[in-house]
Amino acid sequence: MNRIDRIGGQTVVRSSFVKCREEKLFQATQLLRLCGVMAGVIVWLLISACAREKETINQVNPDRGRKFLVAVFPMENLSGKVAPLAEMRTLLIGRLRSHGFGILNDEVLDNVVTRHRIRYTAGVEKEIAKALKDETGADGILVPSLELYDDSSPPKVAMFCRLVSTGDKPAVLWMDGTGLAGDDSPGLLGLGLIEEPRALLTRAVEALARSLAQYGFGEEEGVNGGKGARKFRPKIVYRSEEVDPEMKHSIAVVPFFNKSQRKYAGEIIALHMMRSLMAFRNFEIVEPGIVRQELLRFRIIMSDGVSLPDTETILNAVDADLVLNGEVLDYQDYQGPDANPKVDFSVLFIERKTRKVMYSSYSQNTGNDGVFFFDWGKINTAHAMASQMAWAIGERMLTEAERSQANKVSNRQ
Amino acid sequence: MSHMDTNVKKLLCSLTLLFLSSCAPKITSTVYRDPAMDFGAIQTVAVMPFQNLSRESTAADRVRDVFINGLLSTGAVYVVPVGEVARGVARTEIQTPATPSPEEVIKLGSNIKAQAIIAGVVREYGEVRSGTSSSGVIAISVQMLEAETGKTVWTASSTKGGIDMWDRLLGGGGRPMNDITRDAVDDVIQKLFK
Repeated sequence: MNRIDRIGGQTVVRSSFVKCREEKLFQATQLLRLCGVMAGVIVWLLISACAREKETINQVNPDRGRKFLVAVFPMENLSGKVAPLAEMRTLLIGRLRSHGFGILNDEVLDNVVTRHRIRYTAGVEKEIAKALKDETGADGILVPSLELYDDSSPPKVAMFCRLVSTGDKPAVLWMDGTGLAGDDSPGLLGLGLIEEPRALLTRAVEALARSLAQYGFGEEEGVNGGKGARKFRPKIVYRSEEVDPEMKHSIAVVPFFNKSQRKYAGEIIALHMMRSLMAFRNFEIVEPGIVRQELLRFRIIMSDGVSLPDTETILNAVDADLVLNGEVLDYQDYQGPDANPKVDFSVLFIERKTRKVMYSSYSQNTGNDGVFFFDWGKINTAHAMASQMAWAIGERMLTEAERSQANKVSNRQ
Repeated sequence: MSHMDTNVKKLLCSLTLLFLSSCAPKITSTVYRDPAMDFGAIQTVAVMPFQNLSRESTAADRVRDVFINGLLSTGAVYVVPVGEVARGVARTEIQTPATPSPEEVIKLGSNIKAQAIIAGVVREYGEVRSGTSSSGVIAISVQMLEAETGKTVWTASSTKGGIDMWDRLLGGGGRPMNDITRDAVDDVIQKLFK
């Protein structure tokens, strides 16, 4: 009985062992599959967490047949701190070359600048634009501006670039900006954190160079608005009934009044506004170097804002329809991982024909506006926030104008 | 016995009413409007720089900025751009733009073609603390002067923010200063159009 049992037991044991082994094999295969799927999901999550959002840019149409020759001006430092500007410029030139742009030799550029006694390189004046076209054959001038460079952990970088045409009538062809923080996309277990400032800088420069290259060959037309986040809309808005959404307006941007503690905040917000307005088909921006030249020529000194006679003088001199002015009350970037940037400014558009305010608004936001759980949606740099706020202004101007135009038409019918 | 109960009930009711009425806030008007003034005739106004009595150095600029945008956004009046006001102040040689005299108001009004001049004072702006609680508070006063006569035709004031019962009970930092500023400005503007 015992034996049989044993034999039987052995038999039973053997068969259950085989069954057990098969089951284990099956389970192991299942486990492996599950692990594979999970690893795939984690990799996908990490990759998507590390990916950056594409920034808004505008079009430029250089000849496709030959290399577009660009003169790269020295980088304007609006960060208010010491930064490796020469290194950044070299990096930018390298990236532009790799994207197929021809770069004007520094020696040749220096010679032209010296010969024409050009001291201001944060903008393009008429003389230098003409001289560069005639004497070097350059097609465009790239004006880079550094807004923020913070190499403490997590590092932060923000910069703008604009391409201005050469020749008799210099015009802004393309403009873009980028603002990155090392902890923008930390990903799972902080694997997406960037702690090396140079790595972040390279990423920022590459984003700008790619943007110029991508749109530089006329692949895409400028958009006419788009949906921005609701939280970045201006808090108080006045818009005149005279705004025509179908008409193209050329805008002269005069420096904003800086009442914040951040150095150069007025210039920075002006650049944000230029960049955002350029993304709309209805707006054309006058190169700020030319506006500055005219302000100096007419010796216009603004004590608290642009007056109506000044507006008329500027607009007649640069042949623009609107003058954009305003003031910055807050523009703050903070160091460290718990950064909560603040931006607070107002804008004012005055029209040439009526000499009246066409649009006025007040915008204010902080980095953690609308953030409730786990820093989801938090913005780490004032640049990223200000660019969305500026975009919302253009959007508000045009969409409201379109709406009121539609109302007028329906009322007439 | 029942008669006595009724008397006690009456006494209790009257005492309760008395207590409740004593808890009610004292209502004082914070607005003055000249009854002889036709506010509909005012189409263009100029907002002078506000006087700052608070510790925050940029408080007056902030409030003035929000006030100008708020007034323009109503669509009821047109506000002369600040740069034009500054030019007018310089041309009419007003010594203290925040508190112009009637003569200066008349001169400025004709210079910048405004039918009324608005001047204001920021009395309080910033954070207040009570125990562990803190909150933003703002107190502003605004007055409108008729440009033809230099007379004050409207004044209003508003105080917003401060620590409320919830802040005391639950702690927390209260509402952001910018939101409180907008509330106070809206309050003042509503008093103009009432």
